[in-house]
Amino acid sequence: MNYTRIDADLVKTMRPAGRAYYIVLACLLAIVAWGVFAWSYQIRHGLGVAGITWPVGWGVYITLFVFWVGIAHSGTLISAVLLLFRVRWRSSIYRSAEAVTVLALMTAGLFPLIHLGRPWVAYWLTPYPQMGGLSPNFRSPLVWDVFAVSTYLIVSLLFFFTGMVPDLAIVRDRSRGWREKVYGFLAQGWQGTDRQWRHYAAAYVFLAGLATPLVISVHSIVSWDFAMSIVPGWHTTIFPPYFVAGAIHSGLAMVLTIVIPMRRLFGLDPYITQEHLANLAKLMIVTGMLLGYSYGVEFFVAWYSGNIYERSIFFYRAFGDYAWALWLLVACNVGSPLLFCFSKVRHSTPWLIALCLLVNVGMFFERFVIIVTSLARDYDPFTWHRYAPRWPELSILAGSFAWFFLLFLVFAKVLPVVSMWEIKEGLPK
Amino acid sequence: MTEHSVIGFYVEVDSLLSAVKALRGAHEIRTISPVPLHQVDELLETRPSPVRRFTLAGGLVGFVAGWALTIGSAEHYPLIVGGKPLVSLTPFAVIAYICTILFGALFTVLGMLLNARLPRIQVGRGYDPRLTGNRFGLQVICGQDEIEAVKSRLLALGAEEVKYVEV
Repeated sequence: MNYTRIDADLVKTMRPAGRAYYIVLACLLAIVAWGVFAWSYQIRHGLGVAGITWPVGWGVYITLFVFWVGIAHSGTLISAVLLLFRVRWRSSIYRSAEAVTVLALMTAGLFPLIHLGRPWVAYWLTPYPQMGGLSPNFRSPLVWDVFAVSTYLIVSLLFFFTGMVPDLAIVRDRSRGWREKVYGFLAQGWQGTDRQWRHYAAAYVFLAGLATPLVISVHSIVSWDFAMSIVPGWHTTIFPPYFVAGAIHSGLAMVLTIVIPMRRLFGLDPYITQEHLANLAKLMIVTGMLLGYSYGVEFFVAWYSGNIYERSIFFYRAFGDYAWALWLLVACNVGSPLLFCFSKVRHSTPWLIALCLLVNVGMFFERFVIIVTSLARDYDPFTWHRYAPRWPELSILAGSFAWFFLLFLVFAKVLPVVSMWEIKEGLPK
Repeated sequence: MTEHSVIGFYVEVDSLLSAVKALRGAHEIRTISPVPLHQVDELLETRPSPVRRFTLAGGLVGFVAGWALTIGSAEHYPLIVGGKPLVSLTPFAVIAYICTILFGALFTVLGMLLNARLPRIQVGRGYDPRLTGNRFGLQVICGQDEIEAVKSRLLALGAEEVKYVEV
């Protein structure tokens, strides 16, 4: 392995794609178009076409919002937190993980809009100079969410782009024609002088330092959307750490789900090794166990509180209409990652893919169970109502996954998927 | 006024560092490399990057802006919501915290761009694509009458090639 080979191998991933790439891209685009149609149908006919109705006002849309914000977290963990801890193996994997963060946030940001009956007035949630002098209610967790998620997206984008500048210069220097111009523009005239590296390295560490608390705070704030209410099953202090653990768990699963095929397709085996994947799997054992502990504490606190509403909702979760989802999520999120304790499982690509897909499914249902069961069985039995998503919600769900993978496919072809300069820096001198 | 310089191309980092050690003080020098070389900063005894001050300033601006936005808007339109105090410090602290991080990050990037003199429409003179690839460059700023002497010195210090560049 030397500098020349690293440049050649990694710039090669950005060569014009083959037919299979465009076929997959077209399929994803078709699913996104169907999702957009479903949303436009919902806008034209009103939110009544979706399954969400009183008292279950938050259904699949808010489930997906929480799910996608959660997916974003592992990227920041891998890129920022592991940078501060000087973990060397992060350099192979962090660019893809950061892309997952940015793209997942771009997907998550759609759901509060989709959930609104009138998405064109979404700007009411932001502080803007309104004629009557009204401002958003800064005591509301929903407004904290607007600030937290937008800040997370901006900081992640800055960190993502800043980390890429030296690599864009490498691509610029190995391109001709319009590509040279485009990458030259993006590289901003980077040369790699000692002066540039000095300020760059300082900024990079400070950005990592600023992004690190966001790993903890953003999903804590998202959890307060629920925990600040007085709804049974939501009003609990365990939510912030519980949500953060879940976010990192799901994010790691998504990073692995994406990186494994990408590694195979682009021939990145020398850069993203089986050991890197196994390390991520080890992290998932930790996050899976943290989640298992949180699930246990949730039930224990509901029982120990002596509060009949709390006890009732948790009994309903375990044995009611959605019990299948609860037991499925426990098996997927807590049970399946335990198999990673076996080295053979950690080092087997089919096992990794299969277990990560299960965790992705489990994490979706975790949010679904939290949101839907508590609303479906509120204090007053007269209002109880079962929720089931209808075709617009299911279409938008499929569209959101297609949108995320579509964006990732585009990223993988137009930007360097592995940090070249950091791989070079990590080579033995 | 046109200045003159000579760039020496090195294959090994160690040769470059030896050359930096030999030439520091005698000439104005700078390195161009595909990876950050922290040893160069130590050899040239450069001051720590002032980017940290930008980060601090940004954080402070964000902190103040967060409180100003929340308290200012509450005072501007005094409306009691849910029996909570008009200026509710605990929830407003969340916004102040987020603004601290947001402005800190924005100012950090601004500080990097200003100090590293980026973005540039074109790369600087003397730039060579090999220097983002597999070579390390040492650029020595010199007078017109010193060009040949500097070239010989760089070659003697292990450069595989030297190139004259106007700066």
